[in-house]
Amino acid sequence: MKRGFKSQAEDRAVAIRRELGLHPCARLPSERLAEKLGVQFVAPAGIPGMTPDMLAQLLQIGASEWSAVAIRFEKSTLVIENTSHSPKRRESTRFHEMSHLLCGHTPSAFVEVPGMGVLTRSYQQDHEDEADWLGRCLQLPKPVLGFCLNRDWPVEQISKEFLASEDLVNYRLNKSGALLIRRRLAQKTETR
Amino acid sequence: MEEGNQLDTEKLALAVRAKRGDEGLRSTAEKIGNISAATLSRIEQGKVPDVETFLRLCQWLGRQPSDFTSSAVAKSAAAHQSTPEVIEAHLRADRTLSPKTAQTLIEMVRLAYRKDARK
Repeated sequence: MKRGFKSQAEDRAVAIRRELGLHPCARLPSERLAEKLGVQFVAPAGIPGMTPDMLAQLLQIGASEWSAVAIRFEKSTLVIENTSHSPKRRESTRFHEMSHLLCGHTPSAFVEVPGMGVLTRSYQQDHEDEADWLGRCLQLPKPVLGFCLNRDWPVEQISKEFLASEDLVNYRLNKSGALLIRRRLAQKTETR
Repeated sequence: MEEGNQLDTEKLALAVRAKRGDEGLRSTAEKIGNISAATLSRIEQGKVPDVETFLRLCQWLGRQPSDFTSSAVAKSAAAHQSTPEVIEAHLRADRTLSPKTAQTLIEMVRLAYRKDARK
């Protein structure tokens, strides 16, 4: 990731809530951000022409192999999401995809390349890392974590309120520094 | 129906397994560079690699990318109407996909490119 990206992402997560008229500690539903960014989410079954065999391949047999495909059009983005995944996983995937847009990442060539005839795609690790980090900040920004910790909310409650997996909640609590700040404050209060 | 080229994952898998021989996956992956032992294992099982990994493997094997393409008949001519030769899309998935899932995803993307997929 570029130098300074992580802290900028934290700030951006708060700024976007402000732009949408949301409190910094409020949940940001993925649909709200999607509307702002011109993103439409659709299930594979919602794509005209999909056959039962194709749906079975993507949502049953190969369900663990993919999460989403984001296709850029001139003025909008269509994200086809794996609807066999849990709501919490899908919410994280949505924020990941929208983070690619926010970061200005150029989509990769995906389909058959004439002459080479290869059905494959490019994979840029640094872009994936940035989208991962920003997506997680958008879903659980620092103010949200501080709010929850101040109220002694258990991880299960945070997970439910913000439609985030418990793994994600624990990750953000540790990586954001919110948990460390809370512990230090608690220690200071004890020593008084 | 029209002719098209596809990556022959079985041919690639055979070539990789043959060159690796008795050497371990980890040390082979280190020699190839920028690929994990797990990814290498999946490619040997016939999964579809990403572009960067595929080109690195070709370089290691001393082979041309076109050595691993095979002619295949497209499923439906209708699926190839009104789609660009290269669609720009971002796919969030495993670094290696089963050939069937990769093919189905691509067909789905083609279908989505038609106007009636969008509101």
